[in-house]
Amino acid sequence: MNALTVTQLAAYTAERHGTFLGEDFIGWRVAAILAIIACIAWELFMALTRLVSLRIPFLVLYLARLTTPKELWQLHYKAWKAELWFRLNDRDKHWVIRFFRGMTFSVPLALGGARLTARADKEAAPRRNLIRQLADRGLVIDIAASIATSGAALRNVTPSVGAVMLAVMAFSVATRRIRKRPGRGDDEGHERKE
Amino acid sequence: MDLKYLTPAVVRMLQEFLKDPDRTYYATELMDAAHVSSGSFYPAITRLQRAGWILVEDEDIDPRKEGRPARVYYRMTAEGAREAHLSLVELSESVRPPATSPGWLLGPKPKAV
Repeated sequence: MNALTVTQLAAYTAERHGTFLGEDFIGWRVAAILAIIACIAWELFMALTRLVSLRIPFLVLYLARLTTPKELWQLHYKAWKAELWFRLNDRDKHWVIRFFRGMTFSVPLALGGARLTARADKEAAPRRNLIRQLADRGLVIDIAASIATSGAALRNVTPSVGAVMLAVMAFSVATRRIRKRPGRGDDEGHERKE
Repeated sequence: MDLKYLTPAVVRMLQEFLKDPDRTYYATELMDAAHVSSGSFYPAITRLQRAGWILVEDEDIDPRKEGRPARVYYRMTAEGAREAHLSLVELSESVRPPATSPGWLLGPKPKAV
């Protein structure tokens, strides 16, 4: 419908005062324009809702990171994300159903499932020996350094104290060497079987 | 595996695996079949994996080419099938009513009149 026709129809309607359901041509034209705008706005709103709602389960899943150790998070998140992606992209189902399926997957993990998985992982991993744990935390080296410093501060060092200091120093050097070597328990429990 | 880890969820998962030990399952597939939530599924499957009953394998696809991340699937090992079967039998024996239970003397449930 071109502008001339619209103008002619509007003029004709105005002259004759013809109405439909109590509205003249101008009224119906405004209503039609508003209806088109409302449809576009509705579609945009729904598209945005779909987009946002199908992102929310990923956000909830990511909250599980708060309760999961970093090294285990890297290991498990990949699998969880792939599974969640699959649930949210099942095109045979309506997006509302997909959203709920996604939430039923990610909420239990965020609310403790991830923490329990990490605990199960840690329980199964071989225990690391005490010396390696201390060496990793640098406690032995710190203790040795503080004893040596305090010992040096004392002027009258007895031979027995000196011997103890030497032993501690040797121990710290030995644990430093252990620290540099990969241990039997290191990451063994997190290996994925291919 | 200790019997204390054989929770109802784990038992249902093992039963699903034992229906066809050679079959591979995706997580969602197994969760739906065993009626287990993700919060119970992943700790259990991690424990089973660590015990050597289950193998975890990545899907052999190129994520960039397929446009989706590679999923993980689970398969029961031969040892796992044997151990799981024995554990379920042991669990079943452990929850059997005692011989002195009066329930043994009761007949089948009478039909409603």
